[in-house]
Amino acid sequence: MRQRHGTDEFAALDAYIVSLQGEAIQALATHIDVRDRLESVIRAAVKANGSDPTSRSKWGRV
Amino acid sequence: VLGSNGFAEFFEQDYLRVVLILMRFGASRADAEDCAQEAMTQACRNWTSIQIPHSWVRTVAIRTYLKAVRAHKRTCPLGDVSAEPYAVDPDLAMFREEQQHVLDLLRRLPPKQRLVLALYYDGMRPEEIAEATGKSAATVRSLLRYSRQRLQEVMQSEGNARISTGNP
Repeated sequence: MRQRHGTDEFAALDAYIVSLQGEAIQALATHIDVRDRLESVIRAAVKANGSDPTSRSKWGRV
Repeated sequence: VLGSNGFAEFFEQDYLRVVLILMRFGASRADAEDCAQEAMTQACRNWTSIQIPHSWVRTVAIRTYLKAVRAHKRTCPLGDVSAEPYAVDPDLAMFREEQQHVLDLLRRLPPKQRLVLALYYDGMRPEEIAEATGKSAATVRSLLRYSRQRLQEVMQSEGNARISTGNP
């Protein structure tokens, strides 16, 4: 989380909850195969679009 | 290469964060994963035209989840659940007890407060939350104040030293 509440009355609360976020993400990562989900998402998008919608050569996103 | 042009990196960096936002909002783990995946699929399909993927995918994930809740009465209670008795959601069992407790407290807030806090603690600014939720920035700031006030009061009443002392 971006640091922007250092002086307000909720700074301690914000810092506390944000401090737990990394650990929560790690816990999720032990239960969810992100690479597998990525492949599923790309397969679904390719199926829907007819080609890889993220292809650099096709679309030239900058 | 499938997922080129930055999408794969974006997915790997943001997918679990979106799942966590939805779980903080009240979604079951399964619903959170489904809605995050649907939002990411839409992002992938429209990747070349999305200007700010970070905000875009969060907005779509939230809307996808709310639509599912309304259509199928899924796990997120849309009413005020602040009076519900404490009961640990089995979906939260993967988290350490302290994390479970904070998630539970977040989920007891009224839905509007819960939503803005879930996005806020993911790092979105009030203006970004306003755009994602269709509320004014002033309303978002007000909801952030009320929700954090409530959380702080509860945690202080529980004797949470990290909140009471102001020294995280």
